[in-house]
Amino acid sequence: MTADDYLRRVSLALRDLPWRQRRDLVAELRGHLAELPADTNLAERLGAPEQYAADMRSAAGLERRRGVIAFLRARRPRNVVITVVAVVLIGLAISTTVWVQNYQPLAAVAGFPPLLPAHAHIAPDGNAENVLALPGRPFQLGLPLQNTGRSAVRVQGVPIAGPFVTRLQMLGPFKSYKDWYRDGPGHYETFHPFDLEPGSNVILRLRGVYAKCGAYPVPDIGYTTVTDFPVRYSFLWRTSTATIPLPKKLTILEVCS
Amino acid sequence: MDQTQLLKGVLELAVLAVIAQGETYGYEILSTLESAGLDGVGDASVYGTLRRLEQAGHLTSRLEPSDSGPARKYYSATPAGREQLRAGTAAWSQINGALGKLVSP
Repeated sequence: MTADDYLRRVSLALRDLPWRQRRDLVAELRGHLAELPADTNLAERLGAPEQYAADMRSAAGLERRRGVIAFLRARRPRNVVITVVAVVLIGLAISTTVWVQNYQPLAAVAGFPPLLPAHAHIAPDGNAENVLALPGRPFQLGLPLQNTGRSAVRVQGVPIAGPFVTRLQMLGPFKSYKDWYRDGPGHYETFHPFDLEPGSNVILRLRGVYAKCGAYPVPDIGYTTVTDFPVRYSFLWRTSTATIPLPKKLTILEVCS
Repeated sequence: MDQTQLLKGVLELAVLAVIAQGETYGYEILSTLESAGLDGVGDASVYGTLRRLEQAGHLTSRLEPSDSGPARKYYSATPAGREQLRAGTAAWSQINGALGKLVSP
């Protein structure tokens, strides 16, 4: 057995001791082994490494230590620091990723109803707005939005499909509706991607005409239900679609005669 | 009776006595004990005893770098260690005297 093997096994047998204590004991033993004649049979002179460790423990009054604190104290402080820093960094990276993946700050502005198509009326059961779609007649659907989060997002568009042909328009963004009222409702402009700052508002509006009817199983009549106003937005590396629920679903009845 | 068992009780006193003669290190202490006739003492016991005496404040140590190998750890007795040696010597003399009356070679 080489001196290094012997030292390694003694160190292993003392691995429950605080790191500095174990280092000092092993260092002293290393010095001792260096003093011994080169041809010394270590196992014969000192006994098995585990026995050596046990005898030294017994003479020094070093009890075997157990538990979490002992486990941590037995580690090299530098390694404990590196491990803690690594765990914290990994945790931060994971929580940041999860946060970014789930960050959705867009919401309808409370108290401001959506912009519905002309002639929309509440259904008899009170749960829907119904509107009759006649191809070529004007159509609109819009929603005042607010960034309720703490970080700006880039609004990219409104990916909605239905029995209509529309262009997307925008009004704003403005800091608060007080500004909007003070400056007047202003004019809608053609939509372009923009950054919506925290607390800022914008009205997005689809404007166009009802399109031709689709092919329905029942001849000449069908309907499309719109329950959400989808808003495409990007935040840092991620682009996603927020589905903002409409206060009442919109049922577009198509009569295709 | 096995000499090793008897030695265990007085090892602390023997180690203190060697160090009290002047600053020294582990291997030299072992050699001194062996040349004095205490050759049944295990190396591990001596180093363990050094550790215990140092923890108790009876010894201080310093590391002396070596050109040829690992640094040597030199021990010297503190005033508390010298006091411990005096008390131990007195106790040993008393036991030795008493045993001398009971045990004849």
